Amino acid sequence: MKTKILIVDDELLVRKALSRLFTNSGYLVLEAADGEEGYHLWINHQPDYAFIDVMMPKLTGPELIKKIKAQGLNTQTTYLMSAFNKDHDLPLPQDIAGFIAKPFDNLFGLKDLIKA
Amino acid sequence: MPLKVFYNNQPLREDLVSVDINQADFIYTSIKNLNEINLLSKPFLLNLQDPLVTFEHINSSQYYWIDDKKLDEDKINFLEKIAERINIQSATHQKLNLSIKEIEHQNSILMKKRIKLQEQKKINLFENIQLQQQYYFFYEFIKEVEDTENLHELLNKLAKFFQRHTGIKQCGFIQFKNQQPILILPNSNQGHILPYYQQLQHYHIDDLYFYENRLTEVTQIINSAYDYIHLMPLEVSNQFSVFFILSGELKVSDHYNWLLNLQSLLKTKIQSLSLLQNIKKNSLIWKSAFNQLGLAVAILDEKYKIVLSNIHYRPELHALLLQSNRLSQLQGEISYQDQLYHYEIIDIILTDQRKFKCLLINNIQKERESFNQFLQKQKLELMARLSDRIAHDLLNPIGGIQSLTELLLSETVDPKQILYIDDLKQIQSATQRAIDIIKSLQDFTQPQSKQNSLLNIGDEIKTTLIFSKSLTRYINVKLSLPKIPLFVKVQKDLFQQIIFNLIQNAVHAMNNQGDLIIHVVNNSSFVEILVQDSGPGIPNQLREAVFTPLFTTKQLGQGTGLGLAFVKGVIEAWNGWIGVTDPINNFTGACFLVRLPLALKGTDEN
Repeated sequence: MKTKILIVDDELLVRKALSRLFTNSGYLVLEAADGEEGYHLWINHQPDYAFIDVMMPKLTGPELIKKIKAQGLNTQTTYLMSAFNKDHDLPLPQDIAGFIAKPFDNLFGLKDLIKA
Repeated sequence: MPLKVFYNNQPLREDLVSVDINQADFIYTSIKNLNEINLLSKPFLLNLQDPLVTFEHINSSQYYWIDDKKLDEDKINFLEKIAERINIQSATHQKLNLSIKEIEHQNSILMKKRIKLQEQKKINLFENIQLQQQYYFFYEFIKEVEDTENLHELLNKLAKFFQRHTGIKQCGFIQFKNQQPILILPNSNQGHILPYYQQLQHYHIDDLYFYENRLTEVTQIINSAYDYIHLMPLEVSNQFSVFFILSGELKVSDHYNWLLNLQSLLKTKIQSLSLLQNIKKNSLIWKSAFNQLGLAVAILDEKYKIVLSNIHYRPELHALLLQSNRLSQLQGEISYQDQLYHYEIIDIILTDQRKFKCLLINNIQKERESFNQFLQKQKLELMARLSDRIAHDLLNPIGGIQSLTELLLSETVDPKQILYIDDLKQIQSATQRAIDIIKSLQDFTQPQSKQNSLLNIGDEIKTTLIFSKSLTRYINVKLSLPKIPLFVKVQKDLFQQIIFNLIQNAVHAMNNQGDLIIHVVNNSSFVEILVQDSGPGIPNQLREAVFTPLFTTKQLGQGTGLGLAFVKGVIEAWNGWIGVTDPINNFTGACFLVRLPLALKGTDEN
């Protein structure tokens, strides 16, 4: 079974870039444009990895992670992403894999985060 | 030989009882008997306890010795004995010890004074001249004080007038504490009045303070003590009185009429003077208040012609307002010689229905400048607060473009698609620059200390020019570098951005066509980068202003006005300098000079 990756970002071009990157690597990519959509996709598909934007309409990234955790689901392989300067220094929510600053310094390096 | 001394025609010593006055060596006498003694031509002594004896007598040549005999030691000793005997006061005793020289000196002074007095037109108002003449002098006096505008000056002039025309030096004014000044005019030249005058002075100095508001009482004291003295009060105003001391020996009634005339004339003069003084005082208060207003005030007639103005009023501004027909508006603003003025017209109607206009002009340049600065500061603060948000909103889509472009480049392996690769690379570098600019904006508002690195200026400028290729495609760019590479130790991206910023400004100023020269030279411990264009240039008065935040010559929406302010801020943080200088090489456009401290290669490694 293919590795499932969920991308939640309200910026279409960011979603497209990530989606293309991971699809090219042979993974199954799920896309959501806001926090709520992302939540439903997560519940329905239980992705192996998730890349979630911090600032989004309806539900922010950290709120989404909190909600997922409340459902008893694993967030250990979830990454938060932000283009906000000051977000870089914020304390990360617990039980996530890490934080990625946007725009991506090393786009192709993101592939290495996924262990098949 | 026993000295023969007489005292008031009586021998002083018992053993001299039978001696004739003509045989006396000295005559000890009082002023009363002076005439009698004068006839004897004998040296005489005054009774120093006599209240009529004054210092003038003591120093006078008439006093000690009326003959030619010198005062020798023996005689002084004798006088001292006399003094002891009659218990003269120690103060007077001192005077007796005057040396011969001193006495002679005093005498000569007195003689000179007398000659001077005689040379002057010496007239005794009360004895030597006719009433008509008195009137004449009086009118002369009034004429003299006509222009006097000060009461005290008038009183002084009055005193001097009497002194001059009567030869009586003792006349003058005395003034009670907080009270009216009084003219004291002794009427006799025989010295009779003198002691009383002095007594009055004495009162004035020490005791008359007790007689404040009790002039009548003082008058009575003097009148009752000496029946031949009349103190004649002439109350000319409620502020002061003039007193004349008249001697009983003279016919008071002769003088009374003209004194009354003097009184009424003085009264008028003094009243008008008081009035004038009050008006002057009030007008002075008004004037100084008028002038101390920080703004120009002018009273205009109905045709806007000037009637009155304060010191801040400037006719050229008034003329300018008239020229431009601005005065029909009740208020407004006007610029003159780089200053901004606010003006206002207020209609004034006086109680007599005359109509005027009051023009107020206030220089509001500083006020306006500080308001503008306040606005700019507000804007900057807002910018700072919004910059993160803006950066986020820009970085997301641009970051997306960049990532997608990278992916597309990595996917383009088909040689048929090779034509796209250059375009994709252009997109990639453009987005990268955009991202760098946005990040620098974030740094500008939230400065973070980033790592400095050792940069070869030539290389960095070349790289920046490559980035700017699309911007400079219609520009003839020349880069002149020194043979030996120069290094600075600064942030790489910021340095490129500064160069890019200057290139961009130059290109915009030249309206996309012309020559651009970037000239790098070594100037002692600095590197100088000249960025020069062939555009219209920067007017001298704007050379400073171009670096202030939000200043822009570009049209609204085309420039943020932050570019050069940012550049200046960064360069100064690097201990560098940036400014606008005169163009070189026959260029006419703008010339920016950046000066940065040189870094030695090799110091970076630590």
